Amino acid sequence: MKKILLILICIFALTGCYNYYELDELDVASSILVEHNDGKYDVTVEVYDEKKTKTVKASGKTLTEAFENADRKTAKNIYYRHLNAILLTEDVDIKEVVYFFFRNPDTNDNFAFVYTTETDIYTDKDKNIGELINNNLKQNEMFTFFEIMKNFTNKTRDLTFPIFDGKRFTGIKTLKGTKIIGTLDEKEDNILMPLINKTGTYLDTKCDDDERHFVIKIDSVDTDYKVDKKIKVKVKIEASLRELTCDIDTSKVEGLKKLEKIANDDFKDKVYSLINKFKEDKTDTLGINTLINDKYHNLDKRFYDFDYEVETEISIYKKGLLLK
Amino acid sequence: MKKDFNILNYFNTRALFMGVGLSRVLSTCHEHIIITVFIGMLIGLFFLYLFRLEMKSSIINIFLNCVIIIIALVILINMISTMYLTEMPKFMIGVPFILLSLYLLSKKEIVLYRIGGILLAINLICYFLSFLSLLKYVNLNNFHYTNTGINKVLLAAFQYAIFSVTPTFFMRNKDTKDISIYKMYIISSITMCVIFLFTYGILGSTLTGIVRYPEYLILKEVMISEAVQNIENIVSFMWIIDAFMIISNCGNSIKHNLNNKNYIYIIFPVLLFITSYMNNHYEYLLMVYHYTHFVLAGSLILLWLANRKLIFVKR
Repeated sequence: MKKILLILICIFALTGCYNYYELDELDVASSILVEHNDGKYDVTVEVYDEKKTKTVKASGKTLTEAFENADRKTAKNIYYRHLNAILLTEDVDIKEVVYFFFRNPDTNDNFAFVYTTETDIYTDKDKNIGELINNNLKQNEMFTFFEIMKNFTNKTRDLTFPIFDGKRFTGIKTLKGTKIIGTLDEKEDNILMPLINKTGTYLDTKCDDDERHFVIKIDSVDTDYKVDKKIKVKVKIEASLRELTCDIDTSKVEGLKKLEKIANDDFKDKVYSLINKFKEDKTDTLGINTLINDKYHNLDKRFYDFDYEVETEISIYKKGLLLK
Repeated sequence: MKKDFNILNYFNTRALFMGVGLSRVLSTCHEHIIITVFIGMLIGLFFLYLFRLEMKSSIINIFLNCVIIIIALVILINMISTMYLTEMPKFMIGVPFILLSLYLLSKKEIVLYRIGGILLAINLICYFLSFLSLLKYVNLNNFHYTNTGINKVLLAAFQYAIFSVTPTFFMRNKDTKDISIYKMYIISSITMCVIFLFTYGILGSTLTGIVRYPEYLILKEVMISEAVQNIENIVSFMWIIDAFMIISNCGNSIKHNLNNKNYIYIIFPVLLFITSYMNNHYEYLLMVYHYTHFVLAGSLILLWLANRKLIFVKR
């Protein structure tokens, strides 16, 4: 009898029935657009509606009020555990949004955090914007909320956010603290990724003397920074050839070496110009200040006070089915 | 008996790190975590070697065990309430744990040891699953310079020793006072060291200090391939098991100190009411977070005073 009584009490207490919702009582959120207009937060929550999507718009003086209002506008409870993306406009205070979602345990941590230049992005109900963003950024965990949260609090490097124009990604926003400083276009984005040890981007390089070009995909990268009198940047890349319109015969070793040299020189120039851009903007996207602090135990000299020496080594190890 | 008692000490060494010990130690010693755990382990071993305490039947020992149970229950209930059952009353969360502990304690002592053995296996499965899954997320760049001096390292090592070794002393009675637990203490410390390293390596210096339950937060990264994700609720069972076992162990210790064993059925519900009250007032949670190591150190001193005639006895 004692056992049965204990089991009964445990069964009822262990179900966690206070948090219990049937699936058909939930509106599963896919993405959220957060805007800040006239001192108010406007949120648009994109939720799954069978095979399509629908949106719930609400506003409030605080984020909590805005999300509460959104919840009240639907007959169901909005569920944020399967969130794919959060889109922010430029006026939104990034710190408030990061801490809001950080404090809230009812979300997953792997949704993408992106900036958007368009606010009218949910017009096509057949298109799931959250999934579109998530699928595009899946390979790059540096734009997930968890990574952004870590960088934001640890301050090991300045933040970057991908820019989404409602249809596709057009580049990257660079921040200094919580302030947007600059924008990198898609080509600069492709240079930045290997510098922070991320693979999967493409390098489009013009051949020596004409408009023809070749494209290589970065399959593996090892970037190392050394702080000395200069900051030494050493990038070692293994790439596969994806496209070639140049008049270079890559079936011969000399041809392949020539291609590698052109890619190498071009990449090195682009790295220098990107680093100079960061120095001008004083935004530590590469996290060099942390290395300087590790070495000298102070930050009397910051990353932009140093000269840089870049060494790159690109080797093409795959050409696909074509010999040439 | 010796083996079974040692299994219980695996849980005793780890349990109080959840929610309090781990974040306190990490936010004190920062990147010097390996050396801190090593020094802390040596201090812990020194304590274990030096003091051969035997819990006598006394009201002080019952009180001190109650303190440990309150700390463990507060941390456990608050963790579950924060992470899983956000809308459930905290009292209700504690009920099944108290009932299960009481049921366990109503049986012979060997049942507690056997349950400990079974839960150890589950605990280790969760531990290794987390280990393998989290290994790739550890970023050595997080161990960067943070201007942490040697005094902070020593303070954190002392905190580590207090958190890890105090509950162990509370389990000692005339049957178990001679059992050597050095090996299990070292094994348990190594598992804790890996958790410390992973937590710091994944979250970094500042985030570890500002987040509640960093040891749970890192488990959010655990996945079995791409298909099975969000299994942090399962692998975090290891922390719940640790806390449940320390509650049961302390209950067992209280039972040893009671003349009438049935009083345990009154003491446990009272403790649940106290912890529910504490959990509903956040200032008490902050007190638990900020002062637990002082409470544990004070408990250890009080325990020594209550049982001091046996101290410094050479083995």
